[in-house]
Amino acid sequence: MRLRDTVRFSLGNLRQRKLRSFLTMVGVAVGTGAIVLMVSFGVGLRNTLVGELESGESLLMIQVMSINIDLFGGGGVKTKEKFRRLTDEDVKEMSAIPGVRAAWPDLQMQVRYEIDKTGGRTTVHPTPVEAATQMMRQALVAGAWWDGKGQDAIVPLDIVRRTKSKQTKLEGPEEEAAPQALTRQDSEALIGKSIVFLFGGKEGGGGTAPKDPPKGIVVEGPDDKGRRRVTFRIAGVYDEEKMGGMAHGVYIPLDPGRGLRVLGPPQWAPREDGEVAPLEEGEYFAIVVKAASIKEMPAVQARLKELKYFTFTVQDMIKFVEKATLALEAGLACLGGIGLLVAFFGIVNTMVMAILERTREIGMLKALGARDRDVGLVFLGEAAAIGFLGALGGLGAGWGGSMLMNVLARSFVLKGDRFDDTRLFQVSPVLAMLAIAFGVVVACAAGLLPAIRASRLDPVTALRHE
Amino acid sequence: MNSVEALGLTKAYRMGAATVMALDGVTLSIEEGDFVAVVGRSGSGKSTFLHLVGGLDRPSGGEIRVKGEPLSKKSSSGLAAYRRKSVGFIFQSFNLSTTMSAVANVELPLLLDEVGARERRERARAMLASVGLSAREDHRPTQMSGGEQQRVAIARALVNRPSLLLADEPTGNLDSRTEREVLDLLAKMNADMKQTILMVTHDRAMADHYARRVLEFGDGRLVSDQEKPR
Repeated sequence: MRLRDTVRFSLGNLRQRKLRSFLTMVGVAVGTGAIVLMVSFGVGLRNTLVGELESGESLLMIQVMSINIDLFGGGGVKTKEKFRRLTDEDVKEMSAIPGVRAAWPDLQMQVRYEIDKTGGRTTVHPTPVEAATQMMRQALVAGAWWDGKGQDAIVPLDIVRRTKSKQTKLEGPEEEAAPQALTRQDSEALIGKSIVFLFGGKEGGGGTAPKDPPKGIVVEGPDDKGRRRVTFRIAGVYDEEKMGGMAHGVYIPLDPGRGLRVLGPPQWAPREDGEVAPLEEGEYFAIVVKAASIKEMPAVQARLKELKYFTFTVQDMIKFVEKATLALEAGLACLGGIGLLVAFFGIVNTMVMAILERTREIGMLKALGARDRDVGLVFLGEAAAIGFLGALGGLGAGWGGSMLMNVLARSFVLKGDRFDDTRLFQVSPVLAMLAIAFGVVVACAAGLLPAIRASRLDPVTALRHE
Repeated sequence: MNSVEALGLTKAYRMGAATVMALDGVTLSIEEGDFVAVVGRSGSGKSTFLHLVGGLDRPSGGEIRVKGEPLSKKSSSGLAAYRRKSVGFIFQSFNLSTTMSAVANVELPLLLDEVGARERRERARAMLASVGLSAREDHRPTQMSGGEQQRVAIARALVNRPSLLLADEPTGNLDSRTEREVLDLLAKMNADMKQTILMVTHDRAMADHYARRVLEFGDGRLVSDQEKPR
């Protein structure tokens, strides 16, 4: 029998038993749809997370840590050493590596701030002026980047928003300002104003008064609430979206940052022997290395590893996210697969019934000269068609379901402009094709044994079958 | 030349613990173009003989040669090809596909033989015309009388121009008037197309009237062999 005729024969048989064929297909559709929906969540989650991480500027950054984190696979160095104290000597060594734009100690800290009568909590990022790339400079919506000599600060739009909405909350958890339209004037109005960072006291965080006053910055206070105040001048305002994935918060020059750290709570880090001890002056928990370009990244990273530093990059994080979401996808696919497993037995049942009903017809076909193979292929074709059409329906349903889930997710969970383009459920063309192929393969597997049974029926017995 | 030769043909079935000999050493030969009836009571082995000749079943012992070629040498698909190209079957219960039109039923052997769609349709139509059913081409078997259904089955059996037409009680489900119609048609086809016809029936009178040669089976053996002069 020709393939075309076999297919037509199979489809004709399906059409004869429309309801049963349809119901069996629904089984396949439910299974395939569940897989599509679940895997699309895994894919969407991965793409969303990786998309968040994978922005231009952040790809140039290498975090050198005092702890060897091999948890993320490939992030750390494969040595027995687990800890390494990082000092100014190390900063110097890293700065000297070819391809490094800048290396500086990671001094970021959580602080409370005040602008006029408003305030809140933010993260301060002491950064050397060389680290401010073209991209970071272009993210400014008002003012100019500081030259790194004075007590200057670059603040994010979020702070402009909070200031505009007169948010004064100094206590309690950090809250995002209510979304509201900002004009250029709102940002420009802040330029030249003072932003005061508060240390000590009840409201200023756990910091205690330092033994020696910090060098290089002007510290006022303690005030009536026991807080020490350090005043910075707002030099610029930047748009968080345009920072290429760099951390949000207030950017200040590195040297005043060193002073701020003395005011803040003491930092702790493990020593080489694993004992956790407070960091001395000139010791750091982490050092940030920024490569000159993405091309330099592998060489810089390799050199750092040679020098036995424990590095961690966004790429490592992406690798980890990809691994984790792949495992998630596999798990979700298995869950969805349960539906398809049920459908598998549905198809087996349908095919066994069909063969039982058509035993005489099989005998007749064989008497007319059908080969065993022809008979088997007709039934396998029926199973494949059930699988294909069912999977097609399931793909449609899964795709529709994922669209719906995206709408629901955006209206209830991922609120705000930031998530406008976020799709947590993503049906990729590869997923679509795999879903169809999987449906057909499962259906063929289900139809295989019945088809073989049909092909081996003895024609004389089959013709006598009532 | 002989169309069919049977040499010491036996067929044994197991019925529980007992072995039943459906055929017990049948040796005979049938001439090409002959109209042969096989009679006998039920259980005499006549249908088994027909199935063996048609390549639907394999003998337990002995040999069948069709145009000198032994069937035992053929593989399963070889036997299928033999049934497709050299044999036409007609059954008591017609065995038409009820989901297909008359013309589609007649096309089936051609479809199995991988004949192209257009040629299939043309040959099936011509065949239906020669059994007088041109007007019923697109009707389904369920919309037809028993006689018409059997005529469709005859057209189907002959559409591949087989050299051997095997009929198993072809009029068993028909009234006496349609019976005559169908048998007249078989006789006409035998005369026109020169196929060898082997027809199993339990109706001795009908066999004597239509067939040139009547083989009588009893307990798996050939008990009588009568021929009319040509």
